[in-house]
Amino acid sequence: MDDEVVSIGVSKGIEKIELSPGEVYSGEFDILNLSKTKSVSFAVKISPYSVDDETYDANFYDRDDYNQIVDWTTVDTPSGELMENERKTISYQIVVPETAPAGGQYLSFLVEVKNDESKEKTLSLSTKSRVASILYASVAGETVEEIEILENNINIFNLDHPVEVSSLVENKGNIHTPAEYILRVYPLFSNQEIYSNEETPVENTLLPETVLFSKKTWDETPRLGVFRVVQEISAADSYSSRERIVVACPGWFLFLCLLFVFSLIFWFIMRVRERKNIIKNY
Amino acid sequence: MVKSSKIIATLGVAAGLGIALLPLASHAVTGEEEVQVEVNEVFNFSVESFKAASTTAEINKVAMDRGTTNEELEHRIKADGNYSAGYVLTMSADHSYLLGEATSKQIPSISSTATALPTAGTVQANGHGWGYRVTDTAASGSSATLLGDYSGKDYNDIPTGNGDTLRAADTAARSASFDETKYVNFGIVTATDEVADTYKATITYTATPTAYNG
Repeated sequence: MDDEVVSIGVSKGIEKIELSPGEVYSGEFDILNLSKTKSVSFAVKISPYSVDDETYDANFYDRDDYNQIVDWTTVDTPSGELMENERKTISYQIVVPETAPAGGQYLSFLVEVKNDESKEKTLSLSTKSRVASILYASVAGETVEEIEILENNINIFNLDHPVEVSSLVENKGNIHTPAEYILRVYPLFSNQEIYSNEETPVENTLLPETVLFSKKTWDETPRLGVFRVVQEISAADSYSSRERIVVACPGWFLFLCLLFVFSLIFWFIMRVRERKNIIKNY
Repeated sequence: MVKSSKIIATLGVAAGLGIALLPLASHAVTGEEEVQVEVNEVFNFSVESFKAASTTAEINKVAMDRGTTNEELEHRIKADGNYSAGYVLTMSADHSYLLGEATSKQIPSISSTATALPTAGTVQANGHGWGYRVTDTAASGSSATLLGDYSGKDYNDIPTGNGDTLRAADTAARSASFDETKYVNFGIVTATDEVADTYKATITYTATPTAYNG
């Protein structure tokens, strides 16, 4: 990182905690000024956290039943100064109401670095940098884990790009739920794995009442080959496994193959016609 | 001969003693200690303003004549640290227009259906505006390689409120690779009858660590 650039950091990108109705929970995280030459003014804002669409774009504005935790939470240091290379602990407290609904609650601590106000007067486009530290809370009670795997897709033809699999998974429950995705690749006529991410599977955490689109590629796909590809998805009590034979090849190779096939068909047709003419003349 | 034998014997004994001592000496010096290191996940983020195609960071302000185009304002955004799941980058402006400081006149954002900046050299009523795009390197104008799901669009309208998610080249890859640097390039077109002033906006970049990595 450039020493002249203001760089901020947080010690916890995502934290998952468990709460009970009526509980007073205390937590903390650190914020860091990574600049070696500049001090910064910071502000910590508590915002709701949710996601939009199947692409899970972050949303820090809209409120729903899963963001009530914003009203229960306070921080001890909502603003201040960080000297060069300084690390400061921000403590927060969550007072959970007795009537808190069971299930997931989500907020973000937005750590914002303020601009140097004396320079703002000269800037055409001033900037604010914010780093979000996300809190996933589970409130005890009647939590419902319900996952439906809507789609489990494997691309058959992969022209000029790696073998690709995708999926759509819906969380119909009221609490965030992890989903695990395993990709395996085998040769066409063998069961010896060429590739498997079983040791480090893709793991996504789905928020309640959302649908997540996920895509995975086999980055080591050779330029040419035919393979058996298996994608396994498991989340809560749901499981889906799909296997397909896929082809990986350059686009020009497929074109040549098709050209060869059509040429062969054309030659065969011409041969048949030629023979018919011979028989006719005979 | 006897003398040399004695010397050799002496040396042999010394060596033997030395070898015998070594394990003890080594054990006494180093011992075994358990070392514990707690490594916290750290997510770092920085935004830098500079002139496109320049390697030197400088204050982001340009002077423009009326009826001209400028595509040199750029922000470099970088995430770092040891947070393995990556991050999502969101950009939003305090308002969609550039606001004149003294006159409160506005240079509006291009519309959400526009795919390019207006043509320079016309009056305000026919077209002036600004937009943004995401590139892979610090570059201005047509030399920049566009990233993200901006196919068919040279520039995009300026987002407000919750903002736009700036995507990597693979539109389904929500989480950018770590240590990835993105450049947000701004294009501005002024009208021939643009009111002289300093026009400003504030851009907020938010980096959100992801709970999903695929």
